[in-house]
Amino acid sequence: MTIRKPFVVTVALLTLGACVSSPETKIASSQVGAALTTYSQSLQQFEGAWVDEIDLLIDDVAAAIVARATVARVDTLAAQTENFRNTDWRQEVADRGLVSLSREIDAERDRVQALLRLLDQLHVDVVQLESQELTPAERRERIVTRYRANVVESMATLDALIAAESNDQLRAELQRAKNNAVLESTQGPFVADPESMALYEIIVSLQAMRAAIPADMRNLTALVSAVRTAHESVDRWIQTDVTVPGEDLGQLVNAWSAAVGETR
Amino acid sequence: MRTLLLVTLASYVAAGCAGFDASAVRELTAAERTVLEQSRMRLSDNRQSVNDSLSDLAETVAYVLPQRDRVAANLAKAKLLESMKSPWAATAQTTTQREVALYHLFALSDAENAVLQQEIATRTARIDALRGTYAGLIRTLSALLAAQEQLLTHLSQPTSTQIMQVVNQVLIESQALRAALDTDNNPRLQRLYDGLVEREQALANAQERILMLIERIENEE
Repeated sequence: MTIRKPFVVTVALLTLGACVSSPETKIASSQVGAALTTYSQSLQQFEGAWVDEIDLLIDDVAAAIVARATVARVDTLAAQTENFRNTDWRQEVADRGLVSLSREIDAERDRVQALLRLLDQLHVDVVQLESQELTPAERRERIVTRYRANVVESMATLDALIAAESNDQLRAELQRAKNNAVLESTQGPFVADPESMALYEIIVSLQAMRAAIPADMRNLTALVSAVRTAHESVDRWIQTDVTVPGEDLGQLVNAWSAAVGETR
Repeated sequence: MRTLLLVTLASYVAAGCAGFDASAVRELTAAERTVLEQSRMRLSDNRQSVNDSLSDLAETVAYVLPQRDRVAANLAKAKLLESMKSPWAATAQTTTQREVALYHLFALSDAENAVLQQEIATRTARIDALRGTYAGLIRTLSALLAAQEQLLTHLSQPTSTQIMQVVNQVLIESQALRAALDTDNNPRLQRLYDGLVEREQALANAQERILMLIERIENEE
């Protein structure tokens, strides 16, 4: 007697206690698996778009700080040259023309850009050498403390340079730098401009926000991954028509629950 | 005889351990219900955190951009005054001349403000698009959790009309998200959009096949 293959398969399924999943359940299950993979990848694209937006805003805030300093410098120079009351500037303009005034403005812009770069580096130091768990306010406080310490260190060098400088003009410039350093050592990097300090605080907050994004997205990705892992077992059972033993299902749920707990 | 036995067995297996009925699905265990609830809570927690961050971002844009443009705005005014032949240099300006200069400056300021407001609106819209995308992703992931729940109820069960819900809700949320991204020109979100289009087509095809299978079963009954 010849026994056909479908007959054997059918009897085998019944004997083994297997329960055949319907084709529609199989289709639905495989679609859920594929969708979990797709949306997991979509989260990465979203994360990238979010980070880009924050980076753009950080650049804008930095540009706003530079703009404030530049406008303030122009205002100061304009006041100094008003009706040529200030003898130094009258002489300056007479000797070298208005280009020297323009250089003053450029120099101020460069100084503030360099200052922002230094503060960025100090921020990195604070996070790497102190703690990653600091609030934006704590970060700002520690960055400013480090900045003041740097300025105090530089003051000794300036004193030595002033003492050694024989050229009157260069000595005067060094003295101005020293005077500014004295102010910065007590009042912080933006001295008497609380608005620039407020803008800088925004940069620190945005940098903290940016740093927190991977954790937020990691949590979400881990959650999706936990669901996907659980689904892989469910899908395998469905696709292979296995009647799932209760203890196997219990183990799957326990593993899923543990993985979800870790996403907190 | 053999054929009859084969047909009987096959129909038993095809019918599975339960009939084609909405009530055929199994009840979830307490542990299964708990883990699904835990997963939904994690989604909700994450949503709160991300939305707070995006709201802060939108507020900051409106505060920062006007300050960023101060130098450019002042330069534009300086150039305008220059183009008016340095009106401040005239020693005996009439009131009318001064008013003309001031009105020109005012008009420039007004135009600059309009451009600035447009940029703020664009940036805010981009952040809103991020917020919308995120909400859409979370809704889709919630639908996938619901789908997983449905699949669990069908585990070791042959079929039921409820199986349609597995793909249906995911498809609806996916379509909503894609529609929201349709006009967005953010390149990263566009890549996300492209992935959605492909997945959505597969989901739609699957839904159609499931529908046909269910109709066939219903007709055969």
